[in-house]
Amino acid sequence: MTKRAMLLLAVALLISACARGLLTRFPHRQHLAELECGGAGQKACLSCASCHQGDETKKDQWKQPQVTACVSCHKDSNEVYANSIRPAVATLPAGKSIQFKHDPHLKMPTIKGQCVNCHAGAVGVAGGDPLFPPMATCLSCHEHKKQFDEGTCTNCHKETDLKTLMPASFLRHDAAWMKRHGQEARANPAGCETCHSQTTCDSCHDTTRPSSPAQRNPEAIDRELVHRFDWLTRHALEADSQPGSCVTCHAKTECDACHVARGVSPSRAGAEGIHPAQWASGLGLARNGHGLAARRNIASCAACHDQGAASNCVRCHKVGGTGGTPHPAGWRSTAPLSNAECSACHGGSL
Amino acid sequence: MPSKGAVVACLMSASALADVPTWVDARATLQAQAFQQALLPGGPGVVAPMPLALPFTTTGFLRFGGMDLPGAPDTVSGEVAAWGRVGPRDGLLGDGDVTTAWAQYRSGPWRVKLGRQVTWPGSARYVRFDGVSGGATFGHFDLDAYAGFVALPRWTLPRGAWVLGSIGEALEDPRLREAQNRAGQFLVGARAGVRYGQTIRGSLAFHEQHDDIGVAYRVVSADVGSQPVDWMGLGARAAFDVNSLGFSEARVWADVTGWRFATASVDYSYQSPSLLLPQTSILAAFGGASWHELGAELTVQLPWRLTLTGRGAGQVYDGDRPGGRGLARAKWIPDVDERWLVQAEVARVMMGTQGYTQGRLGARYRATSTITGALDSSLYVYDAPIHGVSSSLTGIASCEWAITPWLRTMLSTTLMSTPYAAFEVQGLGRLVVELEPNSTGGRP
Repeated sequence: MTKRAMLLLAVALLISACARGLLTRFPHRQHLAELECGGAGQKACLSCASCHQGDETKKDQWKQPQVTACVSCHKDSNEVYANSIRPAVATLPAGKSIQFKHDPHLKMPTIKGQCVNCHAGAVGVAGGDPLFPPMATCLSCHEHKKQFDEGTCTNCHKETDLKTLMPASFLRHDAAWMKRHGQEARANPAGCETCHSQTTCDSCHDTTRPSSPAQRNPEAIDRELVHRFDWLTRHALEADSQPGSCVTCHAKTECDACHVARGVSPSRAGAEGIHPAQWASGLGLARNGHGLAARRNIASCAACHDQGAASNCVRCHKVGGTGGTPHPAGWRSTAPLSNAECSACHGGSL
Repeated sequence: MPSKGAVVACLMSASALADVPTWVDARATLQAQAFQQALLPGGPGVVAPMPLALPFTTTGFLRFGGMDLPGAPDTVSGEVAAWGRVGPRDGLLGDGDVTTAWAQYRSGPWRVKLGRQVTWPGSARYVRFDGVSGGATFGHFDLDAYAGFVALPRWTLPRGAWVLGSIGEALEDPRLREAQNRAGQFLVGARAGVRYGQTIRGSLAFHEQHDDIGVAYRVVSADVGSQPVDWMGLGARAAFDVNSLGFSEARVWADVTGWRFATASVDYSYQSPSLLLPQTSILAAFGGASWHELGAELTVQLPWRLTLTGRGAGQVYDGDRPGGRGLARAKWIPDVDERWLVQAEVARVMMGTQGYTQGRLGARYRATSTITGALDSSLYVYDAPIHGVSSSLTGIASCEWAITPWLRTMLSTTLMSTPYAAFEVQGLGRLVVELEPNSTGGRP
C-alpha cells in the first residue's frame, strides 16, 4: 500500500470515527400516507401513535421509537432501524425540546388528534414543511404578548436552549436587520440581553483589539462580513460608495497609520503622493478636483489630512487665504471662534 | 485553565446557595494561529516583506446572574471578558485588554451598572467606557443615564500596523505604539424612552463626548418604532449635532413580514459625513456634502430549500454624482439535514466613474457532525483599472474539525490575484479550546 493510500485510509477512518450523524432518515411519508393498509388482508394503517406513543399509563409520553416498533412488519428490523434512524436523532434540534403537553393539544377540536397539523413535514416531501413546527405555529394560537414584552422565554424554552436560538418568528433578524440592530439594541437592551451578552456585540464591535484572521471565519460563508475577499483593493471604493460609513467603527487616524507604513501618506517624508498632479493647485483647472472630492467624502480627507492647525488644508482655506471659505452654504456652529478648531483659520480675524 | 467540570461544580455550588438559582456562563478560548501573506504592497512599485506571524491568543468570558445580596435576592449580575496575545511579532511584551467588566444591581424598577461597559449614543454609535450607568423603569417609561471615561479604541493611535491584504488583519508592533492618553476623554449622556409593548416605542437621548482637545460629539437623537400590525414593522431615528445645528444622520424603514415565505424591507437613510467626524476634527467644519440613500430588500423562500435575496439602493449626493448598490443572492440547502450549503451572488456597485461588479460562488459541506469543509470564491471586475489591473480573484478553502465539543481546529488557505499582487497565498491554522460551546460569549 502506498503512502498516499494509507493517508487516504487514515483520513477515511478518522471521518468515520468522528461521524455522529445529523438527522433522521426515517421515511415518514411512506409509512403514514403511502402504505396500502386497512383493507381486507392488509395490516392496520399506521398513525403517529403507532410508533411514538410510549408508556400509555402515563400522560404525554411521546418518545423516539425503538427497534421494537419495527418488528411487527420488518423481519430485518434491526437493519431497517439502523438504516433509518441515525444515532444522534435522539437529540432534538436546539429549541425544539420545549415544555409542551401533547395530550391537551391533540384533544382540541381544531387539531382532532392529528399530529400532522403541526408536524406537517412528517408526511411532506423533501424541501417542504419542516418535521418540527416553527414557533409561528405556536403563535398562531398563543399570542404570548406579555412574555415578549417582559423578555420571558423560559415558560416554554429551556434556558440552556436560548443561547442557540434565533427569535425568527416574532423578532426577525433578517429583512435589513443589520441596518437597524443598533437601533433595536438602544430601544430595548434588556431584550437583547435575554440571549446575548455584551461580549456577543464585541465579537464584531470590539475596537480594543485588531481583527484577527480567525475572526473572519472563512468557514462561515453565509455570514455577512464587510471586509471579505480583496478588501485592500476595494476599501477606497467602498469608502467612496458610502461616505462616513467607515467612521462608524474606525477612527480616522487608523487610516494614516497604515498609509504611513506603506509610504502612501503625506505624513511620511519622501512618500509619493497618491493624488494626481495639480490636485489642489491651479485654481480653475479641471485637474483641481480636490474640492469636489472633499465635498463628497470629507471623512476620507480627514483620514490623512487632519492635524488640527497644522493641516495643509488650513494653509489655503484660512481666513484671507487663497482657497476661500470651505464651509458649505448654510453652515452654522454654536462654537466660539476662540476654540481650537475655529481659531486655526479664524485666529487672525479675532 | 480551569476544567469544564470545575466550572460546572462552581455553578452548582452557587446555585445551591441562592434562593433563585445563580447561573454562570463561562467561556475560554485558546487560539494558536500561523498566518503568512506572501506579498504585501508598499509604496508604488515596492513589495514589503511579510514575516510569518504566529500569534497565540487567549480569550476569557464569564457572565453570571441571579446572585443574591443580603436581603436582596436575585439582584446582582455581571460580565467579564478579556483577551491576551503573545507572538513573535509582538516581542516579549505581548498584548491584551479587558473588553468588559461590569456588575449590575437591579431591584424593582431600579438598576445600576458599574464598570467597563458600552453604550449606543447619538451619532457616536458604539462607545466603550469605564464608569457608571443607571436607570429606572416605571410602567411604560424608561429613564437611563451614564457617565465615565472613554475606553479608547486601539485604532485611535498610529501604531505601525501592517494590514494584510484581503482581510483587514492588523498585527501591531507594540514597540511602535504610543501610550494611550485618556486625559479629558470622558462622556455623559441620558435617554428617556416610552414603550407600549411591540405597538409603539420611542425615545429621546442626549450624548456628549470629549476628547483630548474638546467637545467631540454633542448630539441629541430621537427614535421611534412601531409594529402596528403583526406583519409590519416601522421605525425611524434621527441624530442632531448640537454644535453644528445640523442633522448628522437620519433613517426611516419599514419591514413587511406578512408572507410566510417572503420578507421585504424598505429603507431611507441620510448622512452628513462631516458631522459623523468628531467635532474636534478641523475638517468637520469643512462640511462635506450629505447623501441620501433609498434601498429595498426582498427575501423569498422557495421550495427545494432555496432562498433568494435581492437588495438594491440608490444614492444621491448633494451636488455630485449619483451612486448605487445592488445584490442578488441565491442560497440553497439541498437536504433537510443541512449538510450542503451552496451560495451564489452577483453584486454591482456604482459610484460615478468608478464601480465594480462582483460574482461569488461558495459551498459548505458538513461531512460529519464534526467535520466541515468550505470553498468560497469571488471575482471583482472594476469599471476603471486599478494600478493597471481590472479585476481581482480570490479563492478560499477551509476545513474545520470539531474534535470534541470543546476543541476545534481549522485550516484555511487563500489564493488571490489582485491589482496589488499578481499571485498571493495566505495560510491560516487555528486551534480553539472552549469551555462552553453554547456560551453567549461570542464566536472567536
